Amino acid sequence: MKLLEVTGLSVFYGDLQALFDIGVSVESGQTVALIGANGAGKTTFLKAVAGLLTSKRGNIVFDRQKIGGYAAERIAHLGMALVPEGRLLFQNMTIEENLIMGGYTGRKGYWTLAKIYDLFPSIASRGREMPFVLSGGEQQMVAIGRALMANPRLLLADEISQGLAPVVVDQIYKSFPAIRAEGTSIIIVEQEVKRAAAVSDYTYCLLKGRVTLAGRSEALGFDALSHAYFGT
Amino acid sequence: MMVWLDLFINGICLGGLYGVLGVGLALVTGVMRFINISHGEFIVLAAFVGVFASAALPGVNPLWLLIPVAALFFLVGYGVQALLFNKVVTAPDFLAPILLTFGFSIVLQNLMFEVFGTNVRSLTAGGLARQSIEIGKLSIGVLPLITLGLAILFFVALQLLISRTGFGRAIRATADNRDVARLMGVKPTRMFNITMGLALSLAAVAGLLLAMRATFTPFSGLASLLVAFEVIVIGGFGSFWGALLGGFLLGLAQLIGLHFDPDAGIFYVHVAFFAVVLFRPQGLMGIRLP
Ligand SMILES: Nc1ncnc2c1ncn2[C@@H]1O[C@H](COP(=O)(O)OP(=O)(O)OP(=O)(O)O)[C@@H](O)[C@H]1O
Ligand SMILES: [Mg+2]
Repeated sequence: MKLLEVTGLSVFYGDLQALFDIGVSVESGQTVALIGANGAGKTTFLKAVAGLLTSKRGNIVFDRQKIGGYAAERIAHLGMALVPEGRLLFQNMTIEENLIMGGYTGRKGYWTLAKIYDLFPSIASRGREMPFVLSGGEQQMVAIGRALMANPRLLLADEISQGLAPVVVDQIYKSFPAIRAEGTSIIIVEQEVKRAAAVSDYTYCLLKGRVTLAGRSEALGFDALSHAYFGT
Repeated sequence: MMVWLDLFINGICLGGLYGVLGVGLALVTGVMRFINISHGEFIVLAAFVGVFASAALPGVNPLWLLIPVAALFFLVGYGVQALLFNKVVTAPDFLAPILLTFGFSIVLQNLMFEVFGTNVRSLTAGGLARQSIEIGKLSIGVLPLITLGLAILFFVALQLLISRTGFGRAIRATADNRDVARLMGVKPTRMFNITMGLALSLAAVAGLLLAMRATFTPFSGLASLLVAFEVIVIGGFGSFWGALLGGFLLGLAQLIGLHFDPDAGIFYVHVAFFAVVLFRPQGLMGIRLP
């Protein structure tokens, strides 16, 4: 079953058009990677799908509902959660409050505070601390945990490896099988193409606001990929 | 010595009231990054409602009016925010909220002038206004003590609401980052409506208590707004306990000033404000929302 089907999506920042006629679809349980150079429009795509950007055209169907005109808070209640670029934890709240805030919709499911702490043991004993005392990797775990607390059907993860050491990134990606095991579909935005291909079933490459390549991740050839990525 | 103790106690009692005056404004400013210039007019409007309700209900102690008037002003705040202020909360231009609420304050002021006239009014607290507790040579008014008790009660209740409940958490999330809060499913405009409702019910409480100790006219709103504003600047924007502390400081400044200079009015309130801004521009607490 198709969980998300985006067709003909164009997004605007005032007069500037950032996305042109994008088509992306995500099957239930699938992990989809979105790759592309800086400024390609990856974050814009995620924000538009999540309802944060309203200046847009095209169709977005999520779980059989047309959500193109819905506000972000309404979409959240339907079971879509975004891990924003740069983590954006609530700085004036403890770790635990951040996680609890993620469960604001009250959607029931596998993920609870205890399950998040099982998934990321390194934040388990630090619930009462403030986000700024955590390392970058731990903050990213809180950001992912906060999104999971909504028990989403679709998890959007924007550059979760940004600014982190490779070992830490490995550690974070180790959590993905557990997330997928709950049937959650995932869209990851990732700078590192190899890693993106390794964790995903399907890959889309964006260049200057357009999809330049789409295909099964294991079948992507290096030449086609670098052509789609750099436009050379 | 006795004089000083007396001044101190009465200053703290008045300061508690000033704290309530400011905390509603602080709540709105902290949550919405929005300054409600018409806050003072709502304080005066509540006082008028109190005066007429009290006249309609002879024999009822006006302190009991605090509850229904506060409830009424919660609805007023919710409605005004939903119908009017939300249109400019997200405006990219910071002038928009100031212009709108300034215009609204003028409209309210003139409406009150049309409807109630310019007579100087006050709310008589019955026998309560004259009662006092004697401790040795010290005499403390019962009404100021009740005022202080209520002020502290409201501060504690507000603090608990914001720091301990799910609703308070959503409010803090919205204040921190509106878009991220929306991603969690929080509807910011609803948070703003409730926040304005709470702020105006605090304004209403302050309005009634003020009217029991001083006179007012439809034009008294500006003075209240100024004091409220000074309270939150002194306290450090968005800090609740800072607002209470700021209120205490201004209350003390007013009464000590009046003691030495009986014609001063609230001049020394402004002097104290100026001194704090000069020496500690980040406010006494200088922290953000709890
Ligand atoms: N708020 C904004 N206002 C105007 N233009 C914007 C805004 N945000 C992004 N853009 C523009 O839209 C385009 C796409 O940006 P976007 O942030 O979606 O790219 P990205 O693929 O996520 O890049 P990165 O890898 O650097 O995160 C860029 O040209 C960018 O300059
Ligand atoms: Mg980006």
